[in-house]
Amino acid sequence: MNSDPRQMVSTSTLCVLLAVMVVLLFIASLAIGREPLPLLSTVSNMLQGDGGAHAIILSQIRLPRALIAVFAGASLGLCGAAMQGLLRNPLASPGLIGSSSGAALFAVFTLYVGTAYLSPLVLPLAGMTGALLATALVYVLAGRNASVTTLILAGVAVNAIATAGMSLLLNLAPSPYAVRELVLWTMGDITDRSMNDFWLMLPTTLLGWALLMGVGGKLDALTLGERTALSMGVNPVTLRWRVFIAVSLAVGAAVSTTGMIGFVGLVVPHLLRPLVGHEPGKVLFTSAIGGAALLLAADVGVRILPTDPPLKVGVLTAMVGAPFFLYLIIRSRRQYL
Amino acid sequence: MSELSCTSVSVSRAGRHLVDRVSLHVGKGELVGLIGPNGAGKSTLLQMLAGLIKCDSGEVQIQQQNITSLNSRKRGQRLAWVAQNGPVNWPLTVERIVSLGRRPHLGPWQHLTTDDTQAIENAIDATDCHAIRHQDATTLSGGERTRMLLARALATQPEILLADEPVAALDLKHQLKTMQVLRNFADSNLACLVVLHDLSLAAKFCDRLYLMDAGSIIAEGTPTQVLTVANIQQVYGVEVHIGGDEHPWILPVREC
Repeated sequence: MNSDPRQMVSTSTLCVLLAVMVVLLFIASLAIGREPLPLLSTVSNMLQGDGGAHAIILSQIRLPRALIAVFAGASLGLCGAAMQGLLRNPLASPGLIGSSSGAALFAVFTLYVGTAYLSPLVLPLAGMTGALLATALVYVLAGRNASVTTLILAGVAVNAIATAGMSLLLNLAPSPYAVRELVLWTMGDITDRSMNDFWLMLPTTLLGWALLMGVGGKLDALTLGERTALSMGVNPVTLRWRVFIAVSLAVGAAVSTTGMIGFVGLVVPHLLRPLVGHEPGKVLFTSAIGGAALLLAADVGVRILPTDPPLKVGVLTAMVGAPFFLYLIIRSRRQYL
Repeated sequence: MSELSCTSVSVSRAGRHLVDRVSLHVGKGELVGLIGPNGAGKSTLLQMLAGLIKCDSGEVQIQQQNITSLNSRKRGQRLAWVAQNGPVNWPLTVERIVSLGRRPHLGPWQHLTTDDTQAIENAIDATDCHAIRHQDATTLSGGERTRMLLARALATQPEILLADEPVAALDLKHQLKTMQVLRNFADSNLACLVVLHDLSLAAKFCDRLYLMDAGSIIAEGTPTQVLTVANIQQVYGVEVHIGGDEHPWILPVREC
């Protein structure tokens, strides 16, 4: 029952495979870098209470970096899948409703006015506030019962406002050094993050994920259109705002910690969808694991690639993701015209 | 005792009365047809009865309970609505689409019990969907798609079924098959209301008919009572021949 003959592997097998990938990439992310770490001996030294340079690198540099990659990547994959399911469009991304650019604008603002340097808490908190405000603005612009098209247009408007604000800040930046700082931050990067950054992003991230629990079956029902979903007991308007708020919490936390990392939320659900029989509910969970794997892989990738200075991880995902997006558009054009 | 009824329901949009003080009822074991020209308000009325559109005034009752007093899950368990040309947005298999009909009955983990599986199998049987059960639901022909969407509604095992023009896109054989599915549904002591354009099919299969025009019910009763030359001329503006004994058939002659 309910096995799709088009599926090569069952969904649970797929999840296990992806999870194994995440574990392997996590270990790679701890071991690989400018200073290669002998993981086993470092960990056993740490357990015996021996600090040393390797232990410090592992616990204070590599571990937060890998953890943030896992959680931010999972948020991006999960939220991308939720947005695609909600809008019933494979080209939707988590940034569509303005939460990423809202977070980025507020984060960059704290860098611009200098409050970001007062405490490491300021920038991420400002970013999360920005993400929520952007979603609130979409709500105000579009109204509670807005159609999907109106919501997307409101998202475009909010994105435009945030981009304009960002350009203004860059224009007014007092020195070339400040401009560089602002621009680099928006590129998306997980280097030089501490465990504090991780603990800070964790509650909002988990809150967003929790809101998306149990949304899967509702997104499945939405496959038959909003009216039919309503007749089956799924209120599309409530569902929409639940997903929007969840996305703004989880993606807001991710962007505030890592900057803008594009295409993960778009590409991952798209790649995994055919493997789970195109069911929007099943795409959610698998995309979360897939997103974690992809961002870990990209973050290991920038450490292996022989560029100087090293690439920002957001640049790498964009370099790979943009052509993929193009390919998707060309393929969907063939399909529908 | 009626399963589904409405008393004096009205709804207007942009100053236009789409449905104007309509009362009707559907009892257990009844297949009732809702007929009328384009824009008469049939689909709107059906959606009001399904609880998808709020009435400006009047009341819809399911089993003597006001529909607004039921939560959406309970309503979804008792009543199924089949949209006219409903969309299918992702290429799920037919079987998976049909199984979506069990949603109002499932627990939080969406786990299908043997009862659920049996309901899905019965729905696939009733609508003759065996041959297409593993196919991609977005690549079906109009007739296959209608059967699948009807199977989805039957899988819910509702007590009341509302179908909006389920035979509009079908060839003769599938029209008969689909109407027979609705007839069998009603005959198992359940209530079915169906919007139809084909008057002869309505006459052949339905127990009673409501004829609607410009948001109001113009005539109601058995097919022979409703389908008169005068009624059809008044509502459709078409002159017709009516033949047949047990089940009347209607032949349009000319516009008038």
